[in-house]
Amino acid sequence: MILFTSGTQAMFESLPKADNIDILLLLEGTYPFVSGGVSSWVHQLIELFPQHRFGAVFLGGQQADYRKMEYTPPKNFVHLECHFLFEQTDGESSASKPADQTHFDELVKFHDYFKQLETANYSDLAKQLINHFSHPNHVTLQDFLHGKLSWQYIIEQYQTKCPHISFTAFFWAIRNIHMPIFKIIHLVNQLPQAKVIHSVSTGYAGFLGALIASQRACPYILTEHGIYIKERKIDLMQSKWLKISHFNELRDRDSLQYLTNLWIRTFEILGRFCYATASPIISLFPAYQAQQIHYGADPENTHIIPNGINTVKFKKTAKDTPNQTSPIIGLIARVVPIKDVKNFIRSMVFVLEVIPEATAWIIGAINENEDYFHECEDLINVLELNQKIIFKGKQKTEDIFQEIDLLVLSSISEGLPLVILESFSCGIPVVATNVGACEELIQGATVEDQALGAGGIVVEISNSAELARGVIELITQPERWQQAQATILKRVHYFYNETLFKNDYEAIYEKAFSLWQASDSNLNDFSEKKAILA
Amino acid sequence: MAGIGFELKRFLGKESYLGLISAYGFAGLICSGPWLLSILTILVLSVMSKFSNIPANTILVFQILIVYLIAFSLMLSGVFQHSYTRYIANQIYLKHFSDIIPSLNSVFLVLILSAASLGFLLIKTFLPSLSLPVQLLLLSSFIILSLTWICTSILSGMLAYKTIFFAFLSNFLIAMSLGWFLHFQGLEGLLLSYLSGQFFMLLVLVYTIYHAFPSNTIIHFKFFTLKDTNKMLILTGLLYNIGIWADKFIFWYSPQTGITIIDALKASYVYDIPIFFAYLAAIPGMAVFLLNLETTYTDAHEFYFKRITGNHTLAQINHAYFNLMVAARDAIYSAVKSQSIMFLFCVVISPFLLAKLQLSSMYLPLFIICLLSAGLNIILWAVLDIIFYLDRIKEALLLNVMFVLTNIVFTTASIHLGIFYYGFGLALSLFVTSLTGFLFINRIVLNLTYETYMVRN
Repeated sequence: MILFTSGTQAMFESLPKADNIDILLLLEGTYPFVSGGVSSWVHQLIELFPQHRFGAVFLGGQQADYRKMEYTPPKNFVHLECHFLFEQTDGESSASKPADQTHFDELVKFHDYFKQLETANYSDLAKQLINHFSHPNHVTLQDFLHGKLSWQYIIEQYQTKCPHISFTAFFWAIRNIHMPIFKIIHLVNQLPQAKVIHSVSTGYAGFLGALIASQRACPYILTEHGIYIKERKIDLMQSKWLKISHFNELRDRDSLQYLTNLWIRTFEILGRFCYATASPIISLFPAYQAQQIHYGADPENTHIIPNGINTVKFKKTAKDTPNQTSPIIGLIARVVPIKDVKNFIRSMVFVLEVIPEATAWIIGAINENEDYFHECEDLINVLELNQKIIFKGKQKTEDIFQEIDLLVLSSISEGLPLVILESFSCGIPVVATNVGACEELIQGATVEDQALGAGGIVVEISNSAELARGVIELITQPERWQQAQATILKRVHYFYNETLFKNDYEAIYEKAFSLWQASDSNLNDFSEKKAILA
Repeated sequence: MAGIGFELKRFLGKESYLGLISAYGFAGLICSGPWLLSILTILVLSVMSKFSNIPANTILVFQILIVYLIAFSLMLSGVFQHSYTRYIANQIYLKHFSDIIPSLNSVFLVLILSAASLGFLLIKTFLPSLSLPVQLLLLSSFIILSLTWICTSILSGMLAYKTIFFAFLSNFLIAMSLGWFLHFQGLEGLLLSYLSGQFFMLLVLVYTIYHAFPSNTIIHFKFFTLKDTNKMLILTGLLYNIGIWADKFIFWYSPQTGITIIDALKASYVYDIPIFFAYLAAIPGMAVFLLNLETTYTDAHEFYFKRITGNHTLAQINHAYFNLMVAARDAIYSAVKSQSIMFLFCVVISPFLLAKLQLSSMYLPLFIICLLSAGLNIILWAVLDIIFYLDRIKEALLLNVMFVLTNIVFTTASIHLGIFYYGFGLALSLFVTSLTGFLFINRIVLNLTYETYMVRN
């Protein structure tokens, strides 16, 4: 155990470090320590532009949550630093003297600005924040965590806003809402220089980007795969439900309601900081573009770039018809609640009634949420499906597609799942729940895309019978399967080709670099002018 | 999906307070057990000597040897008293029951090795004239006593008072009856009967603990991966026991007050007898205080921290806070009150008492000041107990440093000032330390809620 920990420590200490970075990625809870769609996308992006030097700031919860790198970054990934926002270490030295009332009041005033959630000028506020924290007597994390002024303020707010809820819950919520924000602000001055900032989510990473962009006046690009604010809402609702089942007192329900709202507001504010300062704001498909605009993005700045797939790596399967008697139905997903693996397991009961020789494979990491994995195992036992459903663990997907007859995705939330594109590229039709961009991928996004036909079947979420019907239809009607295969091979070629993806980002990066050059030469002019004046 | 996944439970605070409460619920008892035992041992054997025809000097040497044994074994095991009890309490709180025996064995091993080597050195250096059997008996007793104090601490923590009482009782019965037959053998006989009683008691205590916490592991040294709090607790336990004995050693080894009993071992007639009877008189007060602390203060303390860890409003927490303030005040008041009453009562009856004990009335002033010290000692113990309850190890350590230093300085001064001032050293030291303790408690309690949330997290 001790050896293991020191190994992890060594990993964090031996990360690559460089100074002259072209594109600094801001990655929250993803690449290179967590596998998944966003991480694969980041890896692909870095590989596609070997001429640019990429760096990354990884933001995590607690260091212990990240044990090893899931990816081997390419050579042009020259810099990686990790910061853990919920770690109970104090970012600043405690030697500085406590903040005075004036500076404390100045910081507290930001709460008033946030009251006008939708109308506040966030790019202005970002500058003001930077300004406040550049003052030597600014409020430090120490002041916030341990100071008397901060304690008085917390009590005052509690007594005026919510004196009827659990004080300890309130206290920890306030502490945990603010601590990462202090850490992010403290980070701004420590990060290496880069020509362009590129964040892959809003949230804390997006907020960090907003502050860097305001301070350095450098180009700031945002690519959002899911909608961060919405995802955090789902997280909060799930933990809320859990908590209420534990404590049935009315007061606790009130506490949770109040604190959940506080958290959601925080994420909305962080998101608005990001949307106000980033340009362009990229999403993967139109529905999420609309969400971004709803949460404060300027429509003029928004942009859609879908994922692209490498058709050489994911080559067409030899199959041109499904195995009707003993097909393999594959679910490629980490075994976690958001993927609703249980829905897939239940649907297999219906599938097996019609196709008794069918087998189901669940391909993906089983150790991310072990409780959920055990629940899935229990469900399989109860339904007596032990012989029929196999957990394959994490696998190389390009090989898996050569074996399965159909891909299923039963998630309750998705962005634009890379795994569907991979499946398409290999010519395996898909049955997916109607979340994220699944419908657009399967039915087609634009009119000309839709004209190509359906690449599978879209079903409603959490409906095992309908999911099963989709599977049965495609397996038992080979002509439909074959038509879908023809459709998806064309669809990938015309709309989700890696070349298209590369061209789009190339244009965006080139524009950002030229902006940087312009601002950089401005800066040079400025320093020259200063020199002349002196 | 990008983003830090989080669970709400992590944000709802730590629940470690309850563990600390259980750790200090019995901190006081731990101090009292060894006291009672040391006082009773000397008493019983003094009485026995009256009915015996063996040389008075042998009895005297035996008594002094036992006093030194108790003093040194308490100081040695004091190193682990607070720190190890806290460790055990935490393991019990965390329900890591199988960690208790392996860690107890590790503490035993360390104590046996250190008691054996320290005891060997001390006996060889300071008691060269004793026969080899006596030296060996002394060494064995030293090791066994050191282990016994640790066991009584743990069992008091488990609230196994009956077992402790039974063990103590059987110890005395064995020591007495064996002593009746063996005292003709002189010092060897007396020490052997004492050792047998102690050994049997240790067996009972160890068996009870082993029986209560079965484990598959024989020994591990997790306890010895010392953290800073542990180091402070070790120092606190050591200093407290040094403080308790400092004035006695000074009286023994001052040329004005000490006389040589055997080799390097000295005693002080003028000081030992009054202080011994004074502590005896303090026992009833100690019991009253203990009862009060266990019922009122502990409840208020638990109530307050349960309100903090549970889902309660600030108004409810503040209500519990006022309860706790009142309870802390009441606990100290009741200690002061019960000790004052006991003190006044003893002052009134002490002339008769001295006459009954066939002691010179010259002892009276010194006896009264010693009574005051015993009472103040209970009050200091109350103060330390509350500070331990509040988990302020630093303050407890400071108080013990202060106790040791003032006791040494004031006692030395009192001897130089002359016979009239004997006893004032310890009394003044206890008074000053207790008063400082009151101020500490006052400061801690006034800022308790702020510090609980903002400083200790």
